[in-house]
Amino acid sequence: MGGESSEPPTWRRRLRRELTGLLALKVTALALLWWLFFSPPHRITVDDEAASRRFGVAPPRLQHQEDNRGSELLTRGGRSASGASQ
Amino acid sequence: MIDATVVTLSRAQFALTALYHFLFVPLTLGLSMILVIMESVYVMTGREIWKRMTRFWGMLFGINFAMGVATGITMEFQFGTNWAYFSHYVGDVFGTTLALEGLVAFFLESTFVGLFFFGWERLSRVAHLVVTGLVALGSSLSALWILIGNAWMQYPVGAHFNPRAMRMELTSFSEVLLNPVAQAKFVHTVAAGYVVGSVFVLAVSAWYLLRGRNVDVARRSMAVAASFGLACALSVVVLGDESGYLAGENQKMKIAAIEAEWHTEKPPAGFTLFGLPDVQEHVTHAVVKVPWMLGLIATRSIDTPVPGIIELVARARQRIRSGIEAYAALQTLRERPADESAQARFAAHQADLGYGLLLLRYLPNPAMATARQIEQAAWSTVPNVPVLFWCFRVMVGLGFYFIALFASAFYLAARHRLAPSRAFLWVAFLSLPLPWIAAELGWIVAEYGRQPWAIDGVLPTFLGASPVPAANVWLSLSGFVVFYSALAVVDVYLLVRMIRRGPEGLGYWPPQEPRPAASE
Repeated sequence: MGGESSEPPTWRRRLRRELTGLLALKVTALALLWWLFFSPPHRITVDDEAASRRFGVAPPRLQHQEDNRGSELLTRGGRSASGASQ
Repeated sequence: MIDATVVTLSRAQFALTALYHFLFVPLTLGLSMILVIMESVYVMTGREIWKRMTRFWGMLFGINFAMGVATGITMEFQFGTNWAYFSHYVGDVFGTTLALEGLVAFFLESTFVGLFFFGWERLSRVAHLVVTGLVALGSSLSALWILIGNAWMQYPVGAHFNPRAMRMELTSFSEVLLNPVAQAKFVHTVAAGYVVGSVFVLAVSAWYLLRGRNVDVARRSMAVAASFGLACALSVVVLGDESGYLAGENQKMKIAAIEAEWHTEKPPAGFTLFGLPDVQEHVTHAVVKVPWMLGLIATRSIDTPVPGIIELVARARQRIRSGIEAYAALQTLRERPADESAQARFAAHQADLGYGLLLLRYLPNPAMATARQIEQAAWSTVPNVPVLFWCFRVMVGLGFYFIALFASAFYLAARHRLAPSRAFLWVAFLSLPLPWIAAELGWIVAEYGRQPWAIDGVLPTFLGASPVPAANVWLSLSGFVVFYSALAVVDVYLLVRMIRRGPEGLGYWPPQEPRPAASE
């Protein structure tokens, strides 16, 4: 073991080496996990519109969409404004 | 329509990871408190043997703690990956408790676990005892916040549904915090964890005594485990009774399924000690009952009936019809948020919206449901009766067995007859896996008994799942099986190696000077 000598203890060097190796392994594993499961292509966005689709109800109608729809109705004479609410 | 395979796989994955994680949680809870007891004796008496005991059991605690952390994190990820709609629908409430668990409890626990292991030679006795106490407090606080979240899934209070945002929103944090179900679950679960820790210490110590090794440590450890375990095993039964009463108030279908009570009995209902539930015929064969007992447990009265499954299905049918009204009003509100008649109609039926949503399993628009589909949805509110019936009985039977085990150990320890009682030592050693079985069965009764709901009466489980490809869930589920199997092998290997070495064979880091001889 050599624990009685005055040189820096070997356990400290070994600990440092092991910690560095383990941390590198951990960072690599985390990066791999992120890339495989959590990177942007794998993300699922759930907002109130998506929730509306899941629950089979109409998507939310926003105030500005209603305003646009109103102005379109005025300008087009009520011909077609279905796209405004999409 | 929602892919039923994805829902089933996502549920299987969550159940697998939760059951696996729950192998480590109770032992962490139990051992942390036993460490506090042992170290307190060391601080009060100054006897070195109690320090060695604390360090030895602390080493086993450390292995278990690391496994608990590793397996717990994956569960929180799953709320985002596999249960995205659940997270959207109830994240405002459920996310709060998860965040608090991480911030308040987990950081506290993890920080002081480090100090526990590396602070022996750096802190005073009292300071180190405080550290150990904070580790135990952190473990319990972790359990508290998770169980507050879980209790909200069983009995959702302090939140309301916002039809514009299509999700539940927190209205009263204090109601969520002081949810009576959370309080009952917390004390019951923590006490069960203490029983797990006590049986672990009892069984390992019994093994030492059988082999004639580490006798001083083993005798003292058994005495601590026996007295602490006896108090906790008695508490588990009493506190479990309180959980039963609350379930009788708030989750009547769960109680009826646990009892396989198909028809409402004349009060006070009897407790079914044994029976063979027949799901096809809606009857339980070969019933052996204890008169009055169920009525007293579930209602605390002798004249209040405990409704049976058939009656509760009829009630569910009514609530589904009311839920259809809520759903139709919600559709109108999504189109015309200012519609006052729709607002009034929604307010009148809002409490049953979840029941209306059950129909989405059978058709895309619940407002168009046929009588047959309503009937199907009503029967879908019945959880798996035989599984709940048997899991509950085995769990309760084990609970009473632990009382007998600890009482015997306490008696023998008090009369200084532990070491010569080899038959008892074998019984204690062979009891090692039993508390885990009881804890897992408890989880199954609580969570499987909640089905078909993710949030009781509010959100059906199938609506909470993420729309991911089934192949992805197969991949992650297979990965968990392989990875967790490997972790289990490592965990058992490390624990067995530490136990075989015993308190005398442990190497501490950094290596120390030769230890002083054992002193009383």
